[in-house]
Amino acid sequence: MSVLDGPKTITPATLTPDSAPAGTVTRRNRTRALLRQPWPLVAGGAILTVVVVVLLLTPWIAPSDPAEQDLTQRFAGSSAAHWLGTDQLGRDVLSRMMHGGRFSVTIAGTTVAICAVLGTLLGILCARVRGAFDEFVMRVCDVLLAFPEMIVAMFVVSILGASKTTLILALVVGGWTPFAKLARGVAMEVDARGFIEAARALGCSRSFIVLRHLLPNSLNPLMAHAALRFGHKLITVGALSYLGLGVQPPAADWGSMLAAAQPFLSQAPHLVVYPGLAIFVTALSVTMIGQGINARRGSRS
Amino acid sequence: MTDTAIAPTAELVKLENVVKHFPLRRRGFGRREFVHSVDDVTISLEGGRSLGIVGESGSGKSTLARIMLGLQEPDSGQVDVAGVQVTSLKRKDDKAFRRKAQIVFQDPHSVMDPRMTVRQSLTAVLAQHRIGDGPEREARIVQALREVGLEAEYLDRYPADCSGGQLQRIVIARALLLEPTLLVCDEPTSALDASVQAKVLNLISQLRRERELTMVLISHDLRVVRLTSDRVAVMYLGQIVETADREELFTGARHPYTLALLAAATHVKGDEQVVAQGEPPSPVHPPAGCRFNTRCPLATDRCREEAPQLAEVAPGHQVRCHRWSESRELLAEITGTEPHDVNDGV
Repeated sequence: MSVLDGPKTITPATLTPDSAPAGTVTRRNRTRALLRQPWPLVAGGAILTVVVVVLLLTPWIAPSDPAEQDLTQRFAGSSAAHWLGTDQLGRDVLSRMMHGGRFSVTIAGTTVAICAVLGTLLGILCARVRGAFDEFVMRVCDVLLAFPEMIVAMFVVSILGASKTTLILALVVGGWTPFAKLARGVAMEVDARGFIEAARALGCSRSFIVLRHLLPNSLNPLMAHAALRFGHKLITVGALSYLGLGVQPPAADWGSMLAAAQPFLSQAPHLVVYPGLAIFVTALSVTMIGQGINARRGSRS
Repeated sequence: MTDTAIAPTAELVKLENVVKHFPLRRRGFGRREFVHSVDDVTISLEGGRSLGIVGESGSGKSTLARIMLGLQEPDSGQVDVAGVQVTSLKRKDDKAFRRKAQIVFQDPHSVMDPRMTVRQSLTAVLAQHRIGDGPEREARIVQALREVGLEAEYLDRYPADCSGGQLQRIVIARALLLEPTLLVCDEPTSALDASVQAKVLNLISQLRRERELTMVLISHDLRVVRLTSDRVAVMYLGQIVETADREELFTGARHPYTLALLAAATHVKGDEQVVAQGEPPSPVHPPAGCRFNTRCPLATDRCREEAPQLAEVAPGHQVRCHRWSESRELLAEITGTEPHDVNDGV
């Protein structure tokens, strides 16, 4: 045995203890790790959690039936019975917002998720494959982008009829294009970076390069964009409901509540303020999460 | 330091008449123009030897390296590395070729994925080639890091947390995980601090001896090449202008451009430089005749009209110059120094 044999004595057994503590995270450590995250991520996550929990529990905790009318109590302000007052038909605003939020958030969330995944996949594929496929997808994007998103959605809904599924489909048809364009641009930029060529020189497979190098390094701007789009979608869903293409009365969502309150703006401003605030806070929390993710990943690159 | 202890074996790298032109974006209705990056380059290197390729930026060195590794397709010419026809490499043979030839790039920060820890980056290579299982891979990467002088604690770091010198060691370790026979180093030290350049170069030389690697080392710095190469090729605007064994090149160079590089290597700032003044001409419109004629103090009318060919001036020593037989003496007269002076202190 000589000194040169040293490195050979390293066995898997001597290495495992180093990696073991990773599995034994105590609750306190977890709390500390959470607080080390960027504050927008923590704050946004907290707000969104509250919103989602409230919406999930709505059937049990909503103070009253959202469709129950009390015409003697029209346009009432805040009171013990109606925390956020009542609307033009005397319905409880808080209950309507809680029930409406379930619709708004589900539709907006599902749509953005589908759009983001679909658009990103197509965009990255375009960036890698180039050629005729790229050209075709991009021209389809251009055509869809030429029409306002609302028009495309109205068109689809009026053909297929109003339901949750068609609403999501309608919003996806017009909604994936910005993601595809963005993903393509970002992926092309990342594709030109040194570690992609290095991975190729090391013999990594194409799927590995795309999934482990290209995708993670392209994700930041896409997540930020998805967060932005989420707020935008909340409004679009409401606008479609206002046109009778989304949620059907007497049910409501945040957007349709806004729209319905419009004629009574000077008489009962709270009818606009509360749903608007709900959209704002929810959209803001998602945007903050997006920013927080950006800040966390950014610190490493 | 002598690296001649390794007995040369059969030809491992063979490039024949390799040409690579990059098209430029067409402006208006003019003819499409090309960057003449690599123009008719022939190289041959025996197994176990090391070749240094020297030239200014834009001379096509890096393109040549990428062509050798099959990362870029030449327009024409044959590329034969470790018995593999690189130009017609099938996708299924790609992995096998990668285990024979590896490359170390210039900037270690750009070739490491910023989102992967060192452990992830290194393990991925072994996983992609299906070498070993979990614990064995771990042992191998620890061993590989140790070989380049780094402790296992670097495994959990991100590239941003490592210095350039450390990262270049990691990149070298990653390339050697596949136990290649050929290692191409493309300016391995020029992105590093001066203080660590020598250390990384010594590491490369040492690894080469220990692993009996065949090496191609690309640099703009003659001193780097002198430290690490058995054979040297000098490139100018996409062509090889002079190639010889190391000692022959450093004592008996014939091409005015090589002599200019040698002089520059010993030049102190402020000294006047007679040969090779100014910037190299654009590789889009290489000058007619000899490509060096615009900067050559010895250029004649013949040099401006007729392109010189590589001529064998001594066994294993080729020069692309019309006036090679008198270049050393004439240049010595012009600069007022003895030609041998240029070697001192290189």
